[in-house]
Amino acid sequence: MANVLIYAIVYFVLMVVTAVEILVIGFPIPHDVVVASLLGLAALKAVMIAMYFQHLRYEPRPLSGPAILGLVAVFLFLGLSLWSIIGIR
Amino acid sequence: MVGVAEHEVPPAWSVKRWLTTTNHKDIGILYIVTSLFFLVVAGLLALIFRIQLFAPNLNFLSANSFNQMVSIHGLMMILWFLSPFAFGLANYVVPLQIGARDLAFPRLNALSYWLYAFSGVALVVSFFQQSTIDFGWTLYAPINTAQFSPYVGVNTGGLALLLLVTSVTISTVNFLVTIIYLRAPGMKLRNMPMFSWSILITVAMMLFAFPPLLAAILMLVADRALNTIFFVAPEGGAILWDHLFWFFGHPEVYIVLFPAIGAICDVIPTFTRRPLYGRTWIIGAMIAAAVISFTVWGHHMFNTGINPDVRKAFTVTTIAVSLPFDVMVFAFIYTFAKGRIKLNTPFLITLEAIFLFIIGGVTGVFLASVALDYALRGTYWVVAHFHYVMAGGAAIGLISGLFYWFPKMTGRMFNEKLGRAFFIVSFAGFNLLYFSMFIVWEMPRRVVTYLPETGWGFWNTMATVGGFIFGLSFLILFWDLLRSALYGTPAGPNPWNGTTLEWAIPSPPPFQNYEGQPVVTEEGFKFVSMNGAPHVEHESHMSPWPFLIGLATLAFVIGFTTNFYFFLAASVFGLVTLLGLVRERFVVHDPKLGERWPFLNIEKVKLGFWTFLASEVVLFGTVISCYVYLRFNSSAWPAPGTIFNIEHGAVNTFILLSSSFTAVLALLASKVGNKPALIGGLAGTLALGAAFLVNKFMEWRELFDHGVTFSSSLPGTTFFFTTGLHGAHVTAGLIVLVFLIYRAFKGWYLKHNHETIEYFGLYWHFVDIVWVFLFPLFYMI
Repeated sequence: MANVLIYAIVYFVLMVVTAVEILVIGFPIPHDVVVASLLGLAALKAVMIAMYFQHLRYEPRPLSGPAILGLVAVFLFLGLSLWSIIGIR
Repeated sequence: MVGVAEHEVPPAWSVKRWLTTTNHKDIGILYIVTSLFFLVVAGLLALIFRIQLFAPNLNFLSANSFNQMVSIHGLMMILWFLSPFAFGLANYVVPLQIGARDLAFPRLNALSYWLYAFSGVALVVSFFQQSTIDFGWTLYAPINTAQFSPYVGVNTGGLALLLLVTSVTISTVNFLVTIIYLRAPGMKLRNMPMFSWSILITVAMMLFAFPPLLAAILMLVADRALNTIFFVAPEGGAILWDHLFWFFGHPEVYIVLFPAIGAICDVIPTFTRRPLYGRTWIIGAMIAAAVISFTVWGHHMFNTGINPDVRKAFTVTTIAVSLPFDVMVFAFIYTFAKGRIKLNTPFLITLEAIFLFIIGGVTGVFLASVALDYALRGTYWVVAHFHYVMAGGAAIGLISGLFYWFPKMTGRMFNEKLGRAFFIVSFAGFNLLYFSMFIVWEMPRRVVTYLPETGWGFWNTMATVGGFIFGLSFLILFWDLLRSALYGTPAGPNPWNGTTLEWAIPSPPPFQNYEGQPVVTEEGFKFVSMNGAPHVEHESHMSPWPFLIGLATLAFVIGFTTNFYFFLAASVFGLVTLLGLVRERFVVHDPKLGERWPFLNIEKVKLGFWTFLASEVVLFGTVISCYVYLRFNSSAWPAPGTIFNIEHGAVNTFILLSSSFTAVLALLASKVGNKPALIGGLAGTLALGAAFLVNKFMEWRELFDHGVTFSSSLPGTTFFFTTGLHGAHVTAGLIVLVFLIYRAFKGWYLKHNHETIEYFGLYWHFVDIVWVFLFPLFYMI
């Protein structure tokens, strides 16, 4: 189980990543790269929160299973529903 | 020892017993009786509209009445009869089969039941509020919006569905944890009876199928009550509703069907007197069908003009989903061929269910073809196919299970002659009713009448006659079961020579199921003495709060749709009942020994929380997917920062991340027994959560001042709905926090009692994670 130092480090990193997110949108880089960067950074923050604040790093791996399967279901829904409207708009 | 617990609860004839019980067998009987009541209601509706269709040009019903009856018949049969009936059997049988004394969370089980029962009452009430849902059980958009269906009854019907989904979610978590966590020593998954397997697969599907329905209904309620435009705007509208509904709706077919297949799988080996052939393959086939069922929903949308390539993909998956059922049917037939068959009622009805399901399955394969679907969509072919699967396969299959376990439940045998009469009459009535529909396959469904020139009159007459014969079979069924429950001959523990654990105990089972701890060995079952074990005497079996919460939710729904002050009073009543539930001391002891693979060394409540969070992942994932879909489907979308102020989003992100930090500090303080730090951590989380909401409120007010409202545009609709749903989760967390702080002041949650703080944190951090994605999606992209 994590101690206060690890929690503090994670918290600090989360704040820094959030600041980076805000800075990224001002960079002179293509919009698609901005979108990918922001989603990547958000995913990084989510994984850090799940791993450390929700302690999944210290739990048996199967405990993550239901949530991961839920994510798979969401991506299935999103992917196929987006595919259904490609080229017909 | 078992007798002590039984005497702690009121006797079976006491009303108090049935309003307060948390025992799984009582709840199972409540589910079965209530679901059969809804079967009767929905069946009577069907008979009434069959009279309307008896002959051409009849005016027995108005078009509006016909539409309401057809719609409520479908909704009630699928959601208030079939699944709850299956879960009535599951409530009674699954703990007995796996060697558990009760479900993992008995009070939540009672809460699931009462939410279900009162949601059904709300649906019935909706009939008396101008007009209830009259646009089919599929609730298609945009006819489901206030513009086309402005009736109060439709709102009540929608809220009834919300209540039902809440009940289902609680039940899903409960059964998953029960089957995973409470299996007796030796009851490994590979040994588990097929009915319990089917329920495990069913609830796993429910965990991921019902949140999209919840998301769809929440959006619909928002469209109707707040004037958001999810299903009004052409970018969303009918196609978005179709995606949401059928992503739930097609897995729902298997959710309804699998428990029946599970019951059939337990009946067959008992009455063929040989093990089920290909048992592992059947389990594998069910899992395969469950997975594939989440990829087939687009075949309900072939006619909507969706991308041709995705239609091909859905054709392939739809054909693929039929293959696992071939495996099952062949396994059944091979077992019959090699067995020594006893033609008792449960087996006869199992044969009936399999026969009808085969016809339903074969006629469904046609619908996988895009070309044929153009001809068959919206016709009586679909109605007939659907009923052969749902009423023939699922309902009749479950009734075979009811006959099979009836002696276990009541301790008495049913009348075999009446059972066979049910088999013959139901088989004749069913086929006359639904096969006639195949013959008039060109006739459009959901149409109040038809012309004589169509030539559909004769077969509609036959269908109506068949409907009444089918209805008669249920009178025989009810008469047999009611009479036998009172006067039937004693059954003994194992009248069928069944081999699963429930047949190794008396009929009906003792209140706490087993005299001792059941253990599964290679030779069979044994019961290890538990004399002196403390948990037998001191467990709780009654609580008034689930019933009262259910009552409060019914009042809440009726108040929401009729009277604001009644709504406020119901809300206060609801909060009081929730407080009563959490303050009540309700003791449940978990077994020290048991099979828990693959979730070894994980506490029961934590497993329940993570399962619940998985459903939340799908709920928010679906809502966010709808946002992405609408954006993708819009020709233009405002640039980042032009509508939604990034500063508000950034400040709220920093606030919520900080609140997660204070929440983990509170957990650390709880573990080391530091009361001031615990209270400080919780109070900090409360303050930051409140600050988040204040900032959100200010942001919303600014947006309203600038003309950005729920209905102004899709960016407004999606933003207010998604952040509003998230804000509601934050608010719920704050209410819990106030309670936790109050208890922390009184010395709770220190050292070894830190779990509650940890479980709250799991929820709070999840809410934080959701915001982590909402921030870039709504403010910066």
